[in-house]
Amino acid sequence: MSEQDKKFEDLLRANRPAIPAVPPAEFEALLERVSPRTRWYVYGLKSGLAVATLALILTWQSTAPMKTAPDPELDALLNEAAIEMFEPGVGSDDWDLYAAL
Amino acid sequence: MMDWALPTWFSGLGQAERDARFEQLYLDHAGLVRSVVYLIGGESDLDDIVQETFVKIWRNLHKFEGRSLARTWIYRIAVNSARDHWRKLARRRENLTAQAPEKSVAPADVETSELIRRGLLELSLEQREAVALHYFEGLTLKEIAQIVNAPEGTVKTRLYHGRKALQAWLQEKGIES
Repeated sequence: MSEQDKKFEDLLRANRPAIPAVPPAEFEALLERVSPRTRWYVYGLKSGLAVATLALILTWQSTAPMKTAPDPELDALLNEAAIEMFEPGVGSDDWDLYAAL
Repeated sequence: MMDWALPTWFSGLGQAERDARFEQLYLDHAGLVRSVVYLIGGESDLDDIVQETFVKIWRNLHKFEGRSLARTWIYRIAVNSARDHWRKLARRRENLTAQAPEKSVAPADVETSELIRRGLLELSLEQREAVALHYFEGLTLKEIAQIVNAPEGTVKTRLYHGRKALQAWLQEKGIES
């Protein structure tokens, strides 16, 4: 193998293509926890924005008074979903939707 | 991590234990499967193909006899899934005769790794499998031969020609090694 071939092998190994991240697994789980009307809104959005919106709604629901006892599973889901909220590209529209609901 | 080299992963287990062990198998191998499907089958329908691959693994657990490493067996199923998917896409593209074929355009700001991924998709399926499994998954020629069910010499030839073709494609795009 020539020197150039070896260099090319090194180039390949050093530049392994990045594998796309796994989509938020909690999304469907979150959807099951909201009302059909909210689900309809969320499906209408069809974007990463939807996860952030859901997280906001559920955060509000879980912290509102007269709610059921704390749900550790829901908390874990919300924590993961919260990461989505700070992804680039999430604008202020989700706040508008939140307000509308 | 569990020792998946054992051929008796699932034998003698109840349903609940079986489900739990499969979940562990998924967690241990999801990255591997996702990577293979992406590099060989492309990015379209990636999540669906990964899911289908695990369904195939689940359905074929009883066929695994421990004659190869579990990892090799899982690689084989993932490669076959990616291959089937790519062929389906190719047929679909052939059917869309009115549409101009997709040409990969490389903008100047695209990273080398992304260019390599695009170049990989320009190779033949067999060459792509050899290059991806060897350089990006770190498998030996012997392991690749087992996975793609071809003689080691054939894999070596595919790897050589694949590497040369990828090198030429990248040089066209201004990437010099």
